[in-house]
Amino acid sequence: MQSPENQDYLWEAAGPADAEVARMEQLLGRYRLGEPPRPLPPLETAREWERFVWSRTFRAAAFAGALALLLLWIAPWTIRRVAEPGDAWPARTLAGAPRINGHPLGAAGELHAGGLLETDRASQAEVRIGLMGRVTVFPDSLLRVVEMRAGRYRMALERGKISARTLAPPFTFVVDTPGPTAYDVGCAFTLETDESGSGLLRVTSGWVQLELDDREVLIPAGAASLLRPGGNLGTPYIEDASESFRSALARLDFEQQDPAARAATLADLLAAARPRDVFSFQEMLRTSSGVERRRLIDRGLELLPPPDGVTRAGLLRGDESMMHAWQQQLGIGEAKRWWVHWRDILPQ
Amino acid sequence: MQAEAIRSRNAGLVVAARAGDRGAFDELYRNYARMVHGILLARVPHDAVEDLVQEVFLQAFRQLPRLRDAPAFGGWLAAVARNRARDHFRRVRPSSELSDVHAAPGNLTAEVEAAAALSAIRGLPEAYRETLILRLVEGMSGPEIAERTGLAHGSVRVNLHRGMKLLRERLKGRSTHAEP
Repeated sequence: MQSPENQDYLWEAAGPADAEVARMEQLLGRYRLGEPPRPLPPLETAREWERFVWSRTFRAAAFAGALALLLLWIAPWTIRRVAEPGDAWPARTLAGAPRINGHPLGAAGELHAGGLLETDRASQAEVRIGLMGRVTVFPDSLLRVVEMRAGRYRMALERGKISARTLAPPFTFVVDTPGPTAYDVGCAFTLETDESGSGLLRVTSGWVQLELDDREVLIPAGAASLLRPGGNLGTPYIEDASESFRSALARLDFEQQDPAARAATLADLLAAARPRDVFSFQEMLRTSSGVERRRLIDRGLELLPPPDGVTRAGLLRGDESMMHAWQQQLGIGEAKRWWVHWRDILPQ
Repeated sequence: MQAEAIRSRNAGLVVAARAGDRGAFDELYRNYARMVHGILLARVPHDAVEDLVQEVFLQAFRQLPRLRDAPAFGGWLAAVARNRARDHFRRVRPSSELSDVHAAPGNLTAEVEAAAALSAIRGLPEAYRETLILRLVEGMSGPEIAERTGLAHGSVRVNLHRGMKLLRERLKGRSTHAEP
C-alpha cells in the first residue's frame, strides 16, 4: 500500500519507494530498452533510398508529366492556380452579401492568410482552396484563414457552418473550431459550431480526425460526432442510429451522472443499438474499463459476431490486433485509402 | 528551469538534425529511444519492439524536414511510433508471446509473473497503458514522460495514478481467480 510519504514515488521516480511500484519496476525492468540503445543503421541510406524511390517514381511518371506540362501550357489559368496555390484563395458569393475583412465580397474576391469571411442570415459563399478543394460557407458563419501555403491549409470556423470537399493529402487541410480541431483525411464533411464550441461534424466521404488536447477520434463517411464545450470529444456514431441511441450516447459523453444513472443510460444505449452501432462501442472501448467495458463487449459481440481468432478475453484486455479485426467486420474500410474517394470532390 | 532547458536543448537538436547534422539526430535518438520503445511495447509483442524502434527513427529522420514546429518533436515522434505500431498489425499476423499468456496459478516464476504484469498493463485503457509502461518499464519519471511526449503534467499524473490503481485491481483479481 502507498503511504503519504511515498505517495509521489510513482510520479517522481525518486525518494522513499512505494513497495508495490518498486516491485513492478523490478519485475518489468527486464523489458526495458538496453542502455545504450542499439546504434542506428547509416541514416544516409534512409535518404538515399527515398531519393531512389523518388527517381523511379519520376521516371515512371515522365510521360504523364510531359502531358501535364502540355496541358498547363495550354491552360494559363491552371498554371496560375497551380503555381500560386498559397497566395490567396478565390472566394465568390453564392447568395446575399458576404463580407471579407468587413468589406462586401461582391461577386468574387480573394481571401488571404488572416482574412475573415463573414456571412449573415441571408448570405452564403464559396472558397476555393487552390485546386485541392472547395469550402461552402453557410449563413451566419465566421471563417478565418489561419494558414495557406503548399501542403498546409488551415482555417478556423469561429461560428456557423461549412461544408468542405477536398482532395488534399491527409492532415494537410485543417479546420479549427472553438472546441476540437478537424483534420481532413479525405475528403468531404460538414462542420457546424457556435461560439461556445457546441456543434456537429458529419462526414460524407472519406474520413475526418477530430483532436482535442491529447485525444483523437477518426470518423468515417456516414458517421457524425457531436461537439460540446467542456473538454470532451463526442463518441462518433453512424448517422442513421436511432434517436434513443444518439440521446443515450450524448448523455454518456457529456453529462456527469452518478454510477446508477450512468449504468441505466448505458443499458438504454445497448438496448437501442443495431449491428452497425457497434462502431460506437468500439470507439468507447478505447477509454472504458470495468463493468462498462464488459457490457459493451458482450452486447457488441451479440450484435456483431467477431471473425475467427478474435476472443472476448482478447477484446477485454485491449488486444489491438483483435480489436482491429473486429472493426473490419463493420466494413468501414481503412482511413489510409483516402485517395479512392477522389470522385466525391466533383460538383454534385 | 531544468525541464525548460531540456526542452530548449531538444528543440535545438531538432533544428540541427533537420539541417542534416547527424550527431544531433544521434543525440535525439538517445534522448527519445526509451519513449519510443515504451510506446511500441504498449502495443506490439516484445520481440518485435527493438527493430521497430529503429524503423520509427529511420522514418522520423526521413520525415524530419516536414516537421515545422521543432518543440513539438516529442509529440510528433510519439505519433509516428503509434502509427508504426498500428501498421505492424496490418503487416504481421498476430502471434502469441509469453507476455500474452496468462500465468498458470502456482507456477509464477519471475518471468511468467512479469509477462502477466505486462499483459495486464496492455489490457488497460489506451491512455493509461502507455504512461504506465514508460514509468514502470522504461523507468521514466512523470515530469520526464510529460516533457518527452508533449502531454500536460496533469494528464500524465492522472494517467499514472488511475492506471496504477486499475493495474493493482486487475492483478489482485487475477491472483484471486488463481486461487483453487
